[in-house]
Amino acid sequence: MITFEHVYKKYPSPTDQWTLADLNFHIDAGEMVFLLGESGAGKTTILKLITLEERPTRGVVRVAGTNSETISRSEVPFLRRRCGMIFQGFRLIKDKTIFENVAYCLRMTGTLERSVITRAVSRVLHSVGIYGKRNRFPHELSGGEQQRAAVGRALIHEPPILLADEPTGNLDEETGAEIMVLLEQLHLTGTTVIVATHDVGHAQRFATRRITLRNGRVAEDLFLRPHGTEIY
Amino acid sequence: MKAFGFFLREAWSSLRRNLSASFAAVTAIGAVLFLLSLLMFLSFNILGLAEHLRERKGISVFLATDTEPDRIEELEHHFSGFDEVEGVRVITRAEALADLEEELGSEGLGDALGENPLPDVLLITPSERANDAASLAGLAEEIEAYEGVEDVLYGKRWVEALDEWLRIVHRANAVTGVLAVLAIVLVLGNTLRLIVLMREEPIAILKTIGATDAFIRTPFVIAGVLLCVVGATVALGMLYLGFVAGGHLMPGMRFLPPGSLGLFVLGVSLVGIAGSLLTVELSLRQLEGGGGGLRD
Repeated sequence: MITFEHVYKKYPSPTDQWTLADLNFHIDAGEMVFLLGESGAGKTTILKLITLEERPTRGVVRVAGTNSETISRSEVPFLRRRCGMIFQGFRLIKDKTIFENVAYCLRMTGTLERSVITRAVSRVLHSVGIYGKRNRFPHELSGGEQQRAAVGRALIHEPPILLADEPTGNLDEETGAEIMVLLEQLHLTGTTVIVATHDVGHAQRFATRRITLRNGRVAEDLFLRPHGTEIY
Repeated sequence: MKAFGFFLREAWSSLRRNLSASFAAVTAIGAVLFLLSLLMFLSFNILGLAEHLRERKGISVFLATDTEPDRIEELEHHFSGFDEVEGVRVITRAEALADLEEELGSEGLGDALGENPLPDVLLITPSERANDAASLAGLAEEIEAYEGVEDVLYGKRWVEALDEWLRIVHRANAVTGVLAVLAIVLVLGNTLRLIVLMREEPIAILKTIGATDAFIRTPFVIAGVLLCVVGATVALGMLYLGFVAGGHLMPGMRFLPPGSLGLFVLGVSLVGIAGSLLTVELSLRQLEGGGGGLRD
């Protein structure tokens, strides 16, 4: 599903340091992988390389049949639709309602039939428990509700991969746990979930595999339980 | 059609969110287009006048007094076959004398002179192919070389002057057109750049969740075209109001025909599409260069 082969990444900076150095790993379909590490360890860069928001300086990233060396600019949006994204800051469009935020994802794929959009968006908002607030704007919702909406938006295309960058970073412990349970449920339906986080506790509880990064290298790659199995 | 409706709504809301910038853009574009349409209006009327004058433009071919009627007829037929000639009319010596007598009001002038001194004349109306001074001069020179032709007159100086004026009008139109296009692209560019930069965050979000460049670009391009079309409509509206209000000061002048108005709006729309595509592309590249994605 996702393969990193001798991946190096360097951002332009005066220190000339590698953000990622000789990264090699393969993630199978259906895994729930937690990327752990200090700030600057390269967790978010890995997510950016998966969605090709960044390209590797050296090496190859393969995602769901695509190759970072050969993929064209016009193919990148289609790759991103196969990777639902959740962010620490939710990143909802502020002047659109929750319904419109999710519906936008359908419209950009050419789905314009109002009844189709209403049915699909309602279903996904029900599944993340936020249907009742569909006509609210993001600033009218709590952090947890906004993150649920963001999860709903990420799920609208039923992507095989879900990438979450510090999804509980702006939430209290209880709400954060609720979001993690939501991601766990998605993992159990077969979605490959990759979470970049500082939270070792969540990793212990929910991960099927834990990759710890230090100075841009894999310090530890631990398989905790077979993927697709429930934790309780 | 549904897609266009969606993009149109998005474009409209972009303009509404930046109402003051949009208003300033429409005003500036409208002012530039008003000047352009004013020049178009003047050119249209000058060209109409020139066409009218051209219809009166002719070549008088004076034949030798001893030219036989058969030769006159032969020349008439021959010149009629030229591509540069629309028609040939013969004024015989007798008709010319009668015209002169009528003009001077002195009947019996011919008798007084003893012999009719006037030559036979061929009045030639040039066709569209000889509508400028150079081709008219070429035609006159060619005709003058024929046996039996004594002199050729065609008002060389005023034809050249008319041509010079038309050249000036065409040049002024071209220069103003180019300046107007540059001004529109500049105004449109600044406005759209502002609108795109104000939408930096939603654009970054849309790119991250898989929107194509075309999906992101289209509403901004439509917004640019809307600004141009509204600007053009305002300009033409002002021109028409001016024409109606000051019509009595410009007797004989006509307003631009509907076809020209349509072409004007279409041309402005095309400039709007090109300018918007260029600006939006550059602004989006600028946003991409500035990051706006995730942080480690």
